[in-house]
Amino acid sequence: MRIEGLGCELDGRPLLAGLDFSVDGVPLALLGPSGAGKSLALRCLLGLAPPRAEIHGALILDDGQRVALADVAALARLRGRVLTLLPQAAAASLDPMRRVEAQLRELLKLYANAEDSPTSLLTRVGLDATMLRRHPHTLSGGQAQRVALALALACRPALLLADEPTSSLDNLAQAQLLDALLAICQVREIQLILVTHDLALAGRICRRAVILDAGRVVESGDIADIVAAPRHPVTTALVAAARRADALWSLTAADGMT
Amino acid sequence: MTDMSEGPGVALLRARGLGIALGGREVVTGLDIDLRPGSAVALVGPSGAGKSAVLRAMVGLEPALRGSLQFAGAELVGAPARAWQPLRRGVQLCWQDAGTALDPHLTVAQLLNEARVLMGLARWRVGSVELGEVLRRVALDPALARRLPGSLSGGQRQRVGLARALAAEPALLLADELTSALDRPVAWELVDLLRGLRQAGMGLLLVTHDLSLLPGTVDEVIVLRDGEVVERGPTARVLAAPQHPVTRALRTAVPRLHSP
Repeated sequence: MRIEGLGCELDGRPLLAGLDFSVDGVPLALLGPSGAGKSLALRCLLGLAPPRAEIHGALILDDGQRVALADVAALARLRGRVLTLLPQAAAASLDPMRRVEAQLRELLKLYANAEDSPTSLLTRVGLDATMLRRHPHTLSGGQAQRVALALALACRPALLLADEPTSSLDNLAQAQLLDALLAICQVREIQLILVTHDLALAGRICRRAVILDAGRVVESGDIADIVAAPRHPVTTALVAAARRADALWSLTAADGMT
Repeated sequence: MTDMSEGPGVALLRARGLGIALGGREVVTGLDIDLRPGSAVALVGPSGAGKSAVLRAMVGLEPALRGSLQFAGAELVGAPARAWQPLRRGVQLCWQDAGTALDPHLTVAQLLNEARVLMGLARWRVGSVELGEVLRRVALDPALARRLPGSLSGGQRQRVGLARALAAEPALLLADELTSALDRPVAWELVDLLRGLRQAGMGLLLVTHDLSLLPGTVDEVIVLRDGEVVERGPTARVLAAPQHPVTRALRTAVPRLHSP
C-alpha cells in the first residue's frame, strides 16, 4: 500500500505537503513533534479531514487500485474494512452506554466478519471473556485500549492506523499493548502505521520510520540508520531525547546518590 | 548508604505511617516520606498503585488520613482546617491534567498572577522580565502570556500549569506525571528545569511511572504497588539493582533505543 503526494490545505494554509510513503509489510512509524501533522495525515487517509480542507494525493492499494484522497466517498467505503483507526484515547471512543460484547457484535455484523467472535477477539488482545459483560467506564486505561484494538480487528482491516495508542498508558501497559499489537499484525498480516513522538517506542515494534515536521517529510528510512546518522534537526532532537533514557541502563549501584 | 529518612537537614513535609482511606478501604498504608528543601524524591508504580492519592493527601484533599503528616513540624492529621494554611503557602501541586484545571476565561498571565495573589505575592505585568522568564523556563514562548488556555495545545497547557505552580514560589513542588503527555524533547526540557529548581533549593516529589527520568533528578525512589511500599532506597541502588518484581518490570518497560 502506498501514499502518494498527500497534501492538505485549510483556508489557503498548507498543513501537509507532498507526503510520500509506502507500507510494505513491515510496521511503519510516523514520527514528529506535536503539531507536525501526524494525526492529520491519518485523518486524511481515512477521509476524515476537516470539511473545508483541500486534499491532494492518492492512496494506492495492494491490488493496484488508485483512490484520490479528495474522494471522501471512496475513502468512506474503504474506512473500516480496508483502513481502520486505533485511536489515541480509546476510552473516549467507546460507546459508554453499551457493554463491550454488544460493541464487538455490532462491528462483526457490520463488516460481515464470520471468522471472529467477541470472545475470540478479546482473547486475541489478551483480555478474558469476563470483559464482555463490562461497560467502558469500568475498564482501566489499558483494558479500554485493548478493547479498542479488538474493535479494530473486528473490521478485518488490511491497514491499521494506530494514533499514539499508548500515550495515556503507563510504561507497563504500554509495553504489553505494543507487544500485542505487533504479534496480532504479524499473525493476521495487517499492515501497521504507528503514530508516535517517541523514537525509542517506535523502535520497539517498527523497522522503518517517516519523520514529519511542519507538515512535510524531513527524513525517512530504517530506524537503525536514522538513529545512527540523523540528518534533520528535528530527527536529531528525537534521537537525543531517546538517548537520554540510556542513563537508566548505564547506572550502577555504586553511583552516587543522584 | 544511609536511610534518607534519617539523613541530615530538616524535613519540611514529613509523613510517618501515613494511611489514606477511600470509602472505608485503605488505599495507601504505612507510607513514610521526608521532603526537604533542595532534595527530590520519586514515587513510582504502575497505574492504580495509589501515587496520585498520596499527592492529594499531602495537600489536604484526602479527608480520611491515618498516621502522621507534619508540615514544618506541625501535625496535620486530625488537625482543624486552618492548620493546613502554612502548607498551602509553601507547597504547590502540579496535576497530571494541569491543562484541564486552568480557568478557560483567564489569560496565561492572569492565571499566573492569580496564583501569586493567592500567595500574597506581587503581580507580574505582561511584558515583565519575571513573567517572560518563568514562561521561558517551562519552554513556552513569552508571547503566549496574553493567550487563553483554549487556544493552546495540550502540551502547552500542561506547561502553563507548571508555570502557574512556579509563579507561587513554592518551597516544595509536588508533580503528578508532569511529562507523560509531552513530546520527549520537551519532557527532557522540563526534567532539566526540575533539576535546576532543586539546585536552587526547591524540594520535589515526582510521581511517575517512567524510571528513565529519575537518574540525576531525584535522590530517593519509593516504589508503590496496591498502596504499599514494596521497595525504596537511593536512586542508583533501586534503579541499577531493583529487588522487587514491580520495580524490575517498570525498568524493563522503559522503551529503549537500540543503537546499531
